[in-house]
Amino acid sequence: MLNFILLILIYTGIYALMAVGQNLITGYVGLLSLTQAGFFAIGSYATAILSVTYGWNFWMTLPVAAILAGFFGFLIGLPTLRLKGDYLAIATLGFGEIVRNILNNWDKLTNGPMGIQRIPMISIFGMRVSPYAKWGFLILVWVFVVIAYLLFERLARSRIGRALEAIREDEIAASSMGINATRYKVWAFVFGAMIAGIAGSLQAVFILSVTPGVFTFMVSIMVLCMVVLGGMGNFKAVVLGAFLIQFVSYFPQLVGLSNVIPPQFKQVLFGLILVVMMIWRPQGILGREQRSAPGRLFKKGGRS
Amino acid sequence: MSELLTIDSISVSYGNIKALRQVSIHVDEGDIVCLIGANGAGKSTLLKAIVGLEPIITGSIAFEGRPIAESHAQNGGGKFRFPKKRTHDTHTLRTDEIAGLGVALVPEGRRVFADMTVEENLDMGAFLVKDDAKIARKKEEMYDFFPILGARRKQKTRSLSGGEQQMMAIARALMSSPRLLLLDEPGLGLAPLIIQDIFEKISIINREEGVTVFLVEQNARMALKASKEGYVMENGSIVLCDLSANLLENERVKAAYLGE
Repeated sequence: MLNFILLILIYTGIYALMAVGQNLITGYVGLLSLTQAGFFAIGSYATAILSVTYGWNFWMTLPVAAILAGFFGFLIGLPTLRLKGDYLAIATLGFGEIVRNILNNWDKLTNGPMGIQRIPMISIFGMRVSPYAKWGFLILVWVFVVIAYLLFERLARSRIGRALEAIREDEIAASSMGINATRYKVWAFVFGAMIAGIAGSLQAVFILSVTPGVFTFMVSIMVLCMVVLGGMGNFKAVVLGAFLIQFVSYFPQLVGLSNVIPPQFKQVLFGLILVVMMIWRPQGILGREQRSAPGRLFKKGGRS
Repeated sequence: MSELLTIDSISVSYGNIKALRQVSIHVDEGDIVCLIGANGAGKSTLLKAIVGLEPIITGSIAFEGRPIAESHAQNGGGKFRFPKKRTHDTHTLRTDEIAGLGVALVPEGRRVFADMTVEENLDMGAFLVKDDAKIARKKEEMYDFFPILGARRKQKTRSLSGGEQQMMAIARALMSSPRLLLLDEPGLGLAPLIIQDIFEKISIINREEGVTVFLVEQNARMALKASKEGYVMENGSIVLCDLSANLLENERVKAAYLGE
């Protein structure tokens, strides 16, 4: 039982990283993107391939995973940022599916649908962090979450974050204030992708195997759900959203009802959550974060 | 006086519909110049073209003699162009680059950042200003100039009235200390007394701060009274251009725009 709760908390951490990235893109810039599964997959496979095929240490694969995902974020960002709303959602959804299909079919590199097994465990200073002894891994993942939270929170409160919010509220007004909307939107995409790549990397060393079947469209939807449920534009809230969604999706196993409640049921539930939230509480459980006191906006680290 | 804004026979199309036909306008430094015309004459399109929000298919636009927009006719205008592709022989600048040169737009319908407070909106207006002390000073100036904004500085902009939002949009544009202020229908949807107030403010900004103003307005009487020179636009073409005082006496203008 305790083990199971730890498992939920580890997945909460991994998904919270993705949700933090999604929040920058959706909550701050207001872009409805559905690519997180794609970047997650790229990060996972980068770590898997580099560590299994080339024998790299995990800590060396991690920055590669982040940079590679960020690079694809840049590539997908440039052309799609001309699109808005549902068109952007469709285009980014397509990207996620392309990534999955390539992973599924590029046998030489990814071993196709079989995936890559026997990924070496992480070690820190010679100490192994075994995913079977969950406490160690839990702490590791949450260290990443806390660092990501602090960095993104800082970013959102900086001049860049203000520019992103202005773009969300009115792109034309923002650009006539001298804000290069395209550049900032692409940067948000790149940062969002990088953090999802890191999440993917962590997932690879947690499960110790990667298969294309994991990185479906549902992953992107789950991440979007976390942001909407917690509260767009609020990094604390999306971490809470990540926990709630993970809790809900493992609930049947947790209470031993997995025979009664089919696993597909959670998909129904996510849809329901999105609909109900949109009708009754579109701002999410916690709502948008109130900004620091006016007048201190551009001060460095100006948090109140 | 030197010429600040030079619009040289530009045209803009929306698909097959010509929104602007060979429009030429000159704005001298330190003047208030207005453009009047009916709804749909192409006034807002002209402002969008100046700030690079609409591509022009003929002619060119220059600010202080420096080209900021040139026609793309030679590249097959209207066809898809990759957004980032910029060659050295074209001088077309992006909207944010034009803002950086000192051109501030107060857009039609005000386009305030509704979820931000008045103060945050003004901060956004000063996005390109790097000096914190200067931003603070400029904000105080704005609060002195528009006392109602000072009183409402911590309020969300969406809670402001239309007139207050218009003043805030003007103040936001002034935060960057622009050389040229472009105003798109500052009187739109406002009560006559408030329109009068706003036009007085515009005159003061021009007189005391030396900001050149180019304003587009349906309220022809107000605009012509406030300005030095006026242009009249009909169906995307300039049909008249004279000193505003003369236009106020012009029979054609009187009949069509002043209801006399």
